[in-house]
Amino acid sequence: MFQRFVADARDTASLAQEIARRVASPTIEAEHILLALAEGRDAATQAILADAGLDPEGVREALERENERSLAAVGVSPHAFDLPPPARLVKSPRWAASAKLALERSLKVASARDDRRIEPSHILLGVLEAPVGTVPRALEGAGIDRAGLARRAEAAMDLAGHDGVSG
Amino acid sequence: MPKTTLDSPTDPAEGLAAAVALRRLAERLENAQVERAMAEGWSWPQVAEALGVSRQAVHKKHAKRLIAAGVELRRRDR
Repeated sequence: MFQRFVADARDTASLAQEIARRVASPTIEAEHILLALAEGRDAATQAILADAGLDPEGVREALERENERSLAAVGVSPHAFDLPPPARLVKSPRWAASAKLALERSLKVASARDDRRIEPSHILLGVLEAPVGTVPRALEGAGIDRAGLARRAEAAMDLAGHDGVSG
Repeated sequence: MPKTTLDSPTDPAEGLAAAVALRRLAERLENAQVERAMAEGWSWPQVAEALGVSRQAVHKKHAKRLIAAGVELRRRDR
């Protein structure tokens, strides 16, 4: 899966895994990839996200609101009882369907653009393409135009001159 | 009389997201409560029966984590 990933893209994947572990999620989900992009070292994708209000804190906030809103729909409040901080994991979190889909979509985005190498910006587009699920709901709840964000990410890639050869 | 029940979400996106969020919450609740029970000296068979799962299942899912967290487990039932 990761052969065509440049170093920064691989870092994004391992940071997503680290974040899943940090929040004691047994699975790596698409939202952990989004957090990794927001926290990560790739300045270009980070800037695009931060401009939309999605610095790491903004992403965490949006995800928290999504969780509360989803639970509220069935009359549950996560604040109704005291849960201790999440227990720590002993096993490495494994890639869940949402994260795998995001990575597969990043490969498709690259193919469609004739880019041979997968960069963090391709991963961002892969994450933003999800039509349903936690990430699009969190972004929608935070008032973020997902399609507009994807267009800005693509425009930034075009400007950076991804010609599919230099990678 | 005031209505005290919620309608089930009519939008599948809301209903499915609620199922996801409940699953996450149930997982955390189970982890916390199994830890509490074992710390209070419950046995694996008791915890398993209270959760409605097999002893093997509950042991496989929680034993390593609890040992790593330093919870003293009842030796006889380990």
